[in-house]
Amino acid sequence: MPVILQASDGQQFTISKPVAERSMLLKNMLDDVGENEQAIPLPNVSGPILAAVIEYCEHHKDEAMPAADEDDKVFEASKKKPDDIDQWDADFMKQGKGNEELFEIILAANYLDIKPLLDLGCKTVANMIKGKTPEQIREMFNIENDFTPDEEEQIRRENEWAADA
Amino acid sequence: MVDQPPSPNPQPTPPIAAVARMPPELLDAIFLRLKRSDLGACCRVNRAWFDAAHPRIWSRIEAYAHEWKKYYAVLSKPKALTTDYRKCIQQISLLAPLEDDHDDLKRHSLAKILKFTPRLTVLKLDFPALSGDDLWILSASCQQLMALSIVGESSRPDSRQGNDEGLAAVVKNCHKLQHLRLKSGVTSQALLSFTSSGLRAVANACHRRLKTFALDCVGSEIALLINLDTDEGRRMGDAICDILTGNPQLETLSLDWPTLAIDPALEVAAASLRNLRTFRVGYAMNIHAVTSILASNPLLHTVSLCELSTLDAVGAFLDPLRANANLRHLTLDGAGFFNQVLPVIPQFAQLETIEITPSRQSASLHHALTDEYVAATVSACSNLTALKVPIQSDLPLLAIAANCPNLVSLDICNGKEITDSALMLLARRCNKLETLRLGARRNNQITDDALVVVAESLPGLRRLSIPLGCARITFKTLAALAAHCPSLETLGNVPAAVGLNALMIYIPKMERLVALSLLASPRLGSHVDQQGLAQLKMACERLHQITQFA
Repeated sequence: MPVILQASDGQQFTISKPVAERSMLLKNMLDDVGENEQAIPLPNVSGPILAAVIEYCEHHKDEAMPAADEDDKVFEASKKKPDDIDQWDADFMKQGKGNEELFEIILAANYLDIKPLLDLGCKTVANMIKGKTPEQIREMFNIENDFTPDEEEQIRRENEWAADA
Repeated sequence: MVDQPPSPNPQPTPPIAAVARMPPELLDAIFLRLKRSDLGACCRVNRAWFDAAHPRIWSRIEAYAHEWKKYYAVLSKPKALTTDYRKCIQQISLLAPLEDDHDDLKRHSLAKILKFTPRLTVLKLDFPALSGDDLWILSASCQQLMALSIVGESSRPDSRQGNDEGLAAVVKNCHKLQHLRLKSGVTSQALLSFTSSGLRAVANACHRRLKTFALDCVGSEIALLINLDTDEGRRMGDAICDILTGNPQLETLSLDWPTLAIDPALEVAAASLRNLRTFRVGYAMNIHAVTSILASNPLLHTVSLCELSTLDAVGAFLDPLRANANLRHLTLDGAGFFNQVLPVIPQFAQLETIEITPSRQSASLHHALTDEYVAATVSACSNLTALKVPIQSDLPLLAIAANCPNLVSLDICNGKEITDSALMLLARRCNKLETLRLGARRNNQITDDALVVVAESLPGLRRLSIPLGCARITFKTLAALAAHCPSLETLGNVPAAVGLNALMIYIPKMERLVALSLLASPRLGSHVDQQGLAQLKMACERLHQITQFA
């Protein structure tokens, strides 16, 4: 039976149950209340963003759910995982999405509890930040600087050594 | 999500940008994928980003001992800081690879910070940095401590009592402690820096909670067994036995402690431990107990057997490991069995780390067949990431190049006859290498040609030591390393004959270089004088130690 979602702007989407269940929020909801013909309201997600999220879930609907990570050995220095992104996922994050939409998708993935999409969004943003200066980051994401020049300089000084280790 | 009452004002307020609505935990989910230098930039973006990014920078401090003063300079003035970074610290790991270098760590400077690090869970110190009193401070202020690895401060009798009492306070007060590694700096007085009384306190306080228990030795004179007086030896043996029987769930056990007191403990370990993943032993007389431990712990993935005193039927103690599919890391040393063990190793094809040396004390023993055994081993073990074994000629080097593309660390110990062409092939094929040590024997065949290829092929290279006596190496090697290896931290055996000018041009470009050793040749009049060395050090921000030997 299909599931109907209603975005914050009233736009409705009809999707299949396996697609909806990529979202742990929706999966739990469907498990709790059973199947229902009423639209599920998602007041935190706008229509265009919800459309993108559904596109992602459609593509990944047949994949196994990700397993939890194992703890590292405590005495071992932690190794960073490579930031590989699947080609379809990379294209998905690029196509027609401005930087504002990127953060919207992360917020939506968090709200809907879709861990792989949340990871993908965070990885994409992280890759964009790499190698940039604070000013470039602010410009790229349209962030207002609320530091005085002195405050910013002090933070640079305090974190200089630790951040370069 | 409450329905909004109808607004009297039909003008909607402009929506808040998504980036500004990101809660700290989502910013953190982005930041956890960034390197520290990028986190430094994120800190300066705005207040919200600073709040989310700085804990990741400060949660883990990993540094050489001499670098601690840079952290201390910031952390010791909390009132003047943007925020108190001490509260973020969860792990501190200080390395001391540079010899005789402990003066830089001012007495108690670490303890002064530890007093205000309530979230500390892991403290790992590779040199004596905490006195007994400092351990008291640690026990009182770091209740979250899960893992502690320390080197006892000194083996003077009064310090030992302090060490023991400080250790007792830690095991008594830090209830979450699961991993305990005690290292003794063995000095010429040949005394261990913890005694039976400290170990007794561990036995009394730790029941069914230790996952790691390790007694290790650091220092250069560790080959000799230390004669404890009979009573102390018995008390120490009893205490270790009680620690093991009280913690049958142990996953990591290391008894690399140069005293006969460990032999009865090995019997107890063989009888009571079944969950070991990592097992290390040095100076064991009781080979039977060692074999039995290997047989009764099928989950073992890391085994280190050092300085074993055995002469007969050596291969036999490896028999139990043959059935173990989990084994990944194997370290063996002992002059007596070196060449008997090597031919057996190709049977362990799943190994990722192999370290087989005649003795920790020397790398010089070499048998005519060694190279062939090593070539057979690397041909069988294609998953190798780390290899340390004496290699004399090109034969095993070529086998490594052909079979081990994932190798990260290689130490060939000997290297007497290796040539440029084999080294070039190795560098091209094993391009993940981060550590490359090309032996401690004289070899005048290696030239710039091979070392330039090494530099160009290994972008991740962190530690390089050139063979001794490479008189044909010039500035070209230095130029290639400066241009292609931005992560280089230590560089060994550079001929002083390259000259101060070349050193002054290229060494400062190696921005992460911490230690450099130069090889002088007084016979040829090539050495760098003290003034030149001081000048070079001044020119390099991180370079801390320059040694020159002949």
